[in-house]
Amino acid sequence: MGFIDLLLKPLARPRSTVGYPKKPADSVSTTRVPRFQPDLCTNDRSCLAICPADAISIDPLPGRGRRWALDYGKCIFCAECIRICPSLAIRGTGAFELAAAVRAALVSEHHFEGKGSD
Amino acid sequence: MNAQTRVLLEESPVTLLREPTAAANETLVACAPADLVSAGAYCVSRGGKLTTMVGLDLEPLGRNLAVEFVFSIPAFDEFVRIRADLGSAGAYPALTPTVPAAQWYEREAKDLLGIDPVGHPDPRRLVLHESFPHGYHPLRKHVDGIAQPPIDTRRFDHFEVHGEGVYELPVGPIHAGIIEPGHFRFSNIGDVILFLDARLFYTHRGIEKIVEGLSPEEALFTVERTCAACTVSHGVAFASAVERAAGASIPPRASWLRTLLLELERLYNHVGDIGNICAGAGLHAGTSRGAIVKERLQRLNEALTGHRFLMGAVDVGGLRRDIDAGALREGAHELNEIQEEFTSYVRMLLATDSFVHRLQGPGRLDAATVHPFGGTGVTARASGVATDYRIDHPHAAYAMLAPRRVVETTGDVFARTMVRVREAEESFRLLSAILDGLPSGPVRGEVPSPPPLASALGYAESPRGANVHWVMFDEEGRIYRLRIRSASYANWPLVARAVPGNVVPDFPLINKSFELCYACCDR
Repeated sequence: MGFIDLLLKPLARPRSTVGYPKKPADSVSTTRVPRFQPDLCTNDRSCLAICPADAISIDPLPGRGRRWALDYGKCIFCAECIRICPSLAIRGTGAFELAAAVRAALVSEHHFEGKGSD
Repeated sequence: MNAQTRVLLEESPVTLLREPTAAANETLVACAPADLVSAGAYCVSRGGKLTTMVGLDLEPLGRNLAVEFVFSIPAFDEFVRIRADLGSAGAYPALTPTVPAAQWYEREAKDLLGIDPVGHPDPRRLVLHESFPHGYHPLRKHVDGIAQPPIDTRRFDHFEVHGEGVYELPVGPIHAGIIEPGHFRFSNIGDVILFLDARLFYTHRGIEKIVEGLSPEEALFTVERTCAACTVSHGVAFASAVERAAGASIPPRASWLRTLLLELERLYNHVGDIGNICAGAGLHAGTSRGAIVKERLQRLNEALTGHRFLMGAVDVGGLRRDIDAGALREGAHELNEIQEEFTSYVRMLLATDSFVHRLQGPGRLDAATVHPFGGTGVTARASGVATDYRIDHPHAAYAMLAPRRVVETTGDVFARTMVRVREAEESFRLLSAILDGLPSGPVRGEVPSPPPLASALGYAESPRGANVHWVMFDEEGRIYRLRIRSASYANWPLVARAVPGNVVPDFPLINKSFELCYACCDR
């Protein structure tokens, strides 16, 4: 193989990198990022019990109601909460752009009001 | 039990009392502690290989401490499990002087259960370092697994080499870069290594203790996290141990898809290891191209299972969920492209003479060493020892797929590299056969609760060799005892034997050619 051929060889090869973020990263098909759907929640707390990373918390709110929170900074994306939830209130999504400027912004929370804290 | 095993038991020089087992290719026999050595030697003389050893605390069941030695008999796909009740003494004559492969198992049972192998040639601690107090044996049933024992401050023992010009080179347990902890104590003269004493188990997690009392489904989550790089093999080995104890079988599609996952795991590991060997040999283009191929394989893993390391795909009774037909079709296409890229990559590596010459020679290990020490996987096959559980003990769908055995004979870094190259090629062939012949149907079947106190083995050929899980259940079908024997655990003692005679700068290359896992010991 001549020297010029050797130099030109890499041009014939397909690129190994992807165009992300200019192009969407279509190879990412993760279905293990939990997304909470409060309207389906029956407050059976199985997600709280199964989470191995203590990323999920359910706390009473002052007065009445409760706060359901998921800390993506603690989540290990094992998808156990998605599997265990009997009312399908936690859905698996492919969302992967989770970066935040401060840790607190990684917490996703929902306030349930009026129905008691249990 | 097959006819050959019946003959083997009949001709035994010691009394072996048969006990029932659920799995067809397992024979459980009881013998007196004093007869263990002759029973073990007899098994080895009939082609048996020590596969795992389990220490058992049966006191809550009104019995004593016990040990069980498991011999694999590859010639006729059988496992002979020899169990001995140790009475109140908790001691038995050590097997290690007769069956060297028992060395780590016996030291581990001594640390974790206080079972004394009398006459063991290396009575040092193995799993629990000297910082643990005397008499603390966490796998004993009365010990709380969560409570922190007080810290002892004794010096740890290591072998010393004396002589003019001999010096010691301690390396680790903390290393540069993100690798796992291990302490390597080299005794050298000049650049030449005379002796290597490797100390592992720095981050032992007590997985076997944590899962006691859990249901198999609950335990699987933890068990498949024993090690990320062979999570499928651990998951399949554990799930099949549960299924075998319960006498259950899984649907055909589930066993084919498990085979698919096992081969995907082998492939990305082998390709990644070849790339790492390039790093050890200073061939940077090879490291980068290996990383590219590995990345494509891990993206494929993610597309098929939602996880780059394939975690969470295996379930007791089959798989957690089916893999989408469209994803499988695209996966087959992607595998063809990756195979082309891999072929061109290997062609480049083997055409680089300086690289090939660098790999030839270092870390030589011969069959006469591998065999008695119970080597498995790439380590064994590169030294001419033709052990492969996919063929010797067909599991998942391997009986239908007839994988080809890959054996090299030189036992050096180059041989271990070439075993991986040829096995990766074979994995591409197997994956294509699986995708062509994949049966339809459900991917999960019901597994009944195992009978009270049932025990069984499960196994899978991981990228590093056979992962063997031994499980025993309590009266309620919860886990009473789990013993995880990973391929790395069986192979680590051989690294220390491959190193003497080489120069210190070759150690990183030799170590990479084994590419053993620390987490698989720290289970």
